Amino acid sequence: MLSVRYILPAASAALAIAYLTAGSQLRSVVGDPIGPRLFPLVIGCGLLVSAFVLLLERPAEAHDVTAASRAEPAPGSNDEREARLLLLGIAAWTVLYAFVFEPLGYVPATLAYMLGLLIYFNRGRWLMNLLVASGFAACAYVLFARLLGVALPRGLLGM
Amino acid sequence: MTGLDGILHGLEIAVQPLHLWYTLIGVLIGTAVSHLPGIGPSAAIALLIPITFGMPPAAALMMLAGIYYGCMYGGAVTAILLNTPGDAASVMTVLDGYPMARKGRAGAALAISAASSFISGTLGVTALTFVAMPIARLALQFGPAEYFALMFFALTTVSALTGESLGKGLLSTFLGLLLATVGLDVQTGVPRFTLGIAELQGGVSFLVVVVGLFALGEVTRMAEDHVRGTLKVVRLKGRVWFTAEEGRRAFPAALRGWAVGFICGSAPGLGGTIAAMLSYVLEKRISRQPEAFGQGAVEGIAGPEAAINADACGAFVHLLALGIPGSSATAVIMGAFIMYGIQPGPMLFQTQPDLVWGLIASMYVGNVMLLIISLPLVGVFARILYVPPSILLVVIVCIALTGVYSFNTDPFDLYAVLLFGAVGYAFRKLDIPKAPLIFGLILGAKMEQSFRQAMTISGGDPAIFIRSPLSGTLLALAAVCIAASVYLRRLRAAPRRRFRA
Repeated sequence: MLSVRYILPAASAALAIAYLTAGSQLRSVVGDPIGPRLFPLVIGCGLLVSAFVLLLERPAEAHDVTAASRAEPAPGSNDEREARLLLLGIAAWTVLYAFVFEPLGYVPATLAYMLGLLIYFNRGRWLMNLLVASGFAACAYVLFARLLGVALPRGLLGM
Repeated sequence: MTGLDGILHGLEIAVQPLHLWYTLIGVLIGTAVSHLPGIGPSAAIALLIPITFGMPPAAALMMLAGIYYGCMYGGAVTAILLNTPGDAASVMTVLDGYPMARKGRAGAALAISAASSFISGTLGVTALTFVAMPIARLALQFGPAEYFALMFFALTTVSALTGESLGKGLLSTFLGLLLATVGLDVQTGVPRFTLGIAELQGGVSFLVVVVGLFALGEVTRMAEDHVRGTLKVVRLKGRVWFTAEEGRRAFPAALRGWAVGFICGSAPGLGGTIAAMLSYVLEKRISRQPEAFGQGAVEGIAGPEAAINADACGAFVHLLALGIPGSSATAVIMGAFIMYGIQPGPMLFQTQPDLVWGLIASMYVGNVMLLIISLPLVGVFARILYVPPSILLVVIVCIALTGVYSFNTDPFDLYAVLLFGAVGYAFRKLDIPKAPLIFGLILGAKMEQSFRQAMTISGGDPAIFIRSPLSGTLLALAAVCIAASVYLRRLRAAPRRRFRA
């Protein structure tokens, strides 16, 4: 099994190669001798250098200070697995929110989105969840659509 | 116009009722938002940029600057009351702030933090006033090769000195530069790396990247905290002020912290975290009671807090005089400048003196506002900490998504911000620093333009970058910086290896 230590350099090198390949196919333009290709090729080489440096470095013996000041869940622990499932759930729910955002309209979509999250994070407090979700959706609509003139989608319900 | 003339002129602009109003709103919002653990100035400014659309640029920038130094103060509150730094720079404040709060002196700790921030902020803006103009005049003599070398130096310092790994810093920087090349090439109109997606022809949205990386990236941490259980908050009781003895000890520490912070801020990429750490180490070294550090030493709060504020002012020197951000937060503010159609840099002092001096003067005014309102209202703002983190998490996500959508009114941005939220999560898990990516993204286009101009001038000969003394010196300094970072990392690792052996 590949050591975690090699995954990041390998991924960086793969990205660099893909980027360099795409960059080398950019067409030149008459009258511009330097062209749109040169700088991306320099960046691609820089990515390869980064991958090489990562490979040479010893594994980090301490996390940076900010991580050290907050205990991270141990990899593979139940907490870590539960957190990942939770994040996947939030991501899927947010993708759905983005999908229905325009057809449904800002206020109903945001209300449903927030309620869905609060039902999980703030279980059992139905009234508070409803007040927070509806209050936020309404205030955000007033701030952005009315005060700032942003064209938030009105959707099927016209709001 | 000299610095003194400029600041006097700027004060006339900053005290106009509209500008006072927006500075106050910025300071209040910055202080309030910064009480959310982990939401540092970069995320706070990025989340709030959308509400500045439609405002006059000067007022909008004054508000964003107010949010910036308002955040500097609020980060200390969570450090003191919650044992959690509000942002990376406040991590040193936790060491003595929380122990002091546990002893029932939370009010004194908060007051020391506020007073130190005020002293340092005022001195920092004064230094900015007199340092920015000479640097801007020097920068007017820069050609494309010098500008490229300057940006190369800035990116090198930020990638070499941020985080524990040089490789990860370089990776983050080059990823930012990569993102900056996505879209239509400005000079030729050739589409680059758009993957056939029409929305990417305009490039990767700066706001989407910053909100995704910082705000949504932080939400993932809050979600993990939720799984593990809630944090314990120290309730604020009693008077929010310090004794005469505490003030006598804090004042010189604040002055020393200011000096350390402003020097750190003057070097792009060092950041408030390093400034705070250096200040803490200095205070402990010169203290007659070093054993008191970690138990609630006044100097352990005053020094780092002053350093953080001074670092912020130093970072503004870069932004205004050179057009190069000095920190990730000023990189976000630079993004805001560009969104408003203003190019920060040395020419700004000549083309828009009202805007730049008004902005600098507003920082004096904002510091006074912070001192006046932050202590009486600290009890009010601290209530934000008592809001269930689960609700805060959901609200932050919705603010982020709404703000990002409002910029282009394109649902594609919602998917994109989610993607960068995943990138922010991966960065946190892999200990990859985020600041270099932001630097690369914001400087990439300008860097490429300078590069291509220099190469065109020289007929394709890269020696142009070392023929100029200034350009050559900056490139040499960049190489020294990388060598120094490798050497320092080896020095730090050596005692740990000997211990294990």
